[in-house]
Amino acid sequence: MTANTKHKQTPRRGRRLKSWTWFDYVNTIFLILLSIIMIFPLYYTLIVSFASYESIINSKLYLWPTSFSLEAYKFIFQGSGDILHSFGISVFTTVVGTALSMVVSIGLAYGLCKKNLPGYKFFTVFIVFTMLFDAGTIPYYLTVKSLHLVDTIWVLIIPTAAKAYYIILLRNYMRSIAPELEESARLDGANDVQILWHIILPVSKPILATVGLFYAVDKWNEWWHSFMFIVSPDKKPLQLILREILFNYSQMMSSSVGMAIMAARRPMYGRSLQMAIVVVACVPIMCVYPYLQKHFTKGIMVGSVKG
Amino acid sequence: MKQQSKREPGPSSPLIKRAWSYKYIYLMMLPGLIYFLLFHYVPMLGTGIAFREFSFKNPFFGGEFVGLKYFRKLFSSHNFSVVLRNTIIISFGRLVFEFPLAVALALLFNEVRGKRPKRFLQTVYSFPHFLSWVVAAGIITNLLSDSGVVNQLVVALGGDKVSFLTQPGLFRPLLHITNNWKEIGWGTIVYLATITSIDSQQYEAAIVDGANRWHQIRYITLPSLVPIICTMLLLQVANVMSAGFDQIFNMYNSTVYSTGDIIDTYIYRMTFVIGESFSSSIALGLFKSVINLVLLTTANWLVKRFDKDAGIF
Repeated sequence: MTANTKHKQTPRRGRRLKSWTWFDYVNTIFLILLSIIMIFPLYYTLIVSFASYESIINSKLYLWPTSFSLEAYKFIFQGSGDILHSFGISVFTTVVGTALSMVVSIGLAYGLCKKNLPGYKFFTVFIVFTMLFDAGTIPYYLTVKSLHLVDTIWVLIIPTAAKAYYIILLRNYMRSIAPELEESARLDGANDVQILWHIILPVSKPILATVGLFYAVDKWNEWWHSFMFIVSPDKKPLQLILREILFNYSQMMSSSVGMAIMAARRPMYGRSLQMAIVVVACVPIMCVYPYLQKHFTKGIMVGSVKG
Repeated sequence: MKQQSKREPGPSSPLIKRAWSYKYIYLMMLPGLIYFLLFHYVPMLGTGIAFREFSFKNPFFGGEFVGLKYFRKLFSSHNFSVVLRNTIIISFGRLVFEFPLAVALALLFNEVRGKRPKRFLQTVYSFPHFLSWVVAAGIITNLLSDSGVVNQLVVALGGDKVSFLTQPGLFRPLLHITNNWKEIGWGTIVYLATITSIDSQQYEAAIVDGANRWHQIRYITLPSLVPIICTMLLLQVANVMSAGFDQIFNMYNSTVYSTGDIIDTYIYRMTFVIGESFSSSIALGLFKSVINLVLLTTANWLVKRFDKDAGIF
């Protein structure tokens, strides 16, 4: 291996040698093949969602789309109000939930970046300890229950209002802002709220975007709280409806979605419908993905929670 | 601290006066503190139920004290040994079949020439991370179903259809394969970000000294990654008791309980399906959390002994 890659050329422009070695070819081909495998499940989901009933029944569906049908999507957008309604619930909890999370997290993070704050040590340990020790599912369940949040839409918003890890991210960034900025504003008579609003937040835009997007993706993908605490069909978010439809065919048919399928008197296209809902659940993620990608490196390079 | 000079009259001033000057800060912190108190510390109070009979009237404080009764019952049960074994095997499987692959892929990414192809590959590989496990499990079940494309390929190649998701022997390998699909790209980012911070002069000097690509990886890139690899390893080891609830809960079914049931999924079924006492499942949860806490603090202490900056807290 070493003999082949030995080059006598002098390097130009940094470390990269100009000519391609066999290693470059193998590496590139390998990574491209692997990326096809990575994409394939998503591609296959898409073609199944557009496949016609006949092609699925006759197992004609293969690597290439052999038929095109919009039946599944028509059903989502016209046939059953349920799926569309759950989409609305998800949008609502994501938007309101992210806004609330940001307010709560920014307040806490700003306080935690002040090392002189009386009680600083206590508050830091108070937050960090929640990352180290998890009380467990059942005590948590009992707590949410005793707070009367069960089967309300707020159970999808309030119990997930803050995440210690994201607060640390915000705090670390805010701490890196030059203290002179804050000091000069203080000399001008600004109070802490004004300083946070006019000085700290405008400078923190990159991390606010990162944490905001993380929260939003988390809320959109949230299924556990709805699975545990939501009973009423009209409060179920998209992820829960999807879970019910995916994992329990009989439950799906006995639900109002199933009723609507029966009422539509169309041939059953279960798998197409399942995959079409998967696609609908993916679309918002795809829309924010370019922004996410721009920011997520910053997000996970938090380093440590020391302070 | 100098930056706070105006706010702080000096160390001799009473604490209350000093605290009062931070009143707006406390006010802004209040909602967050209440949140953590309600949703993280109140549940911790609830772990005490493991030592009492459960009382529906007063779950947090009622009920007769029974000491270690439920722990004894738990440790002697057959299901406990099964789920504990599964949890540890799956966690170690992740350490062996998932953790090193992300490091390896990061190194391969780093060798790709040109920024655009690198970025494109990263985009493709990390996308599945942002899907929920409900969505991912939906995609996977469809792929592996009786009439799914994988079985069609198997049949086309002359084999018999395999019911992938209902075979205990296949469940763990499937967990690793699918989790790699979903998380490997995301896993590389932390390593790639570290690699970009390596001083390029090191590489130039090495090339002048006649180092080839392999030498550069072996003696420059990899050593620079050691601290971050340690940190990631530490987090992984500390999570041995949680083998990935979201993934397993959305992928498993009753036919693969023997190999796929882990502590967290069992806690759920114990309470809501089997209908055992809350005290039992809380005891199991507490057992898991205490071990996690001990592992995390020990691992952190160990890593810090070798490299002061590699610890996470």
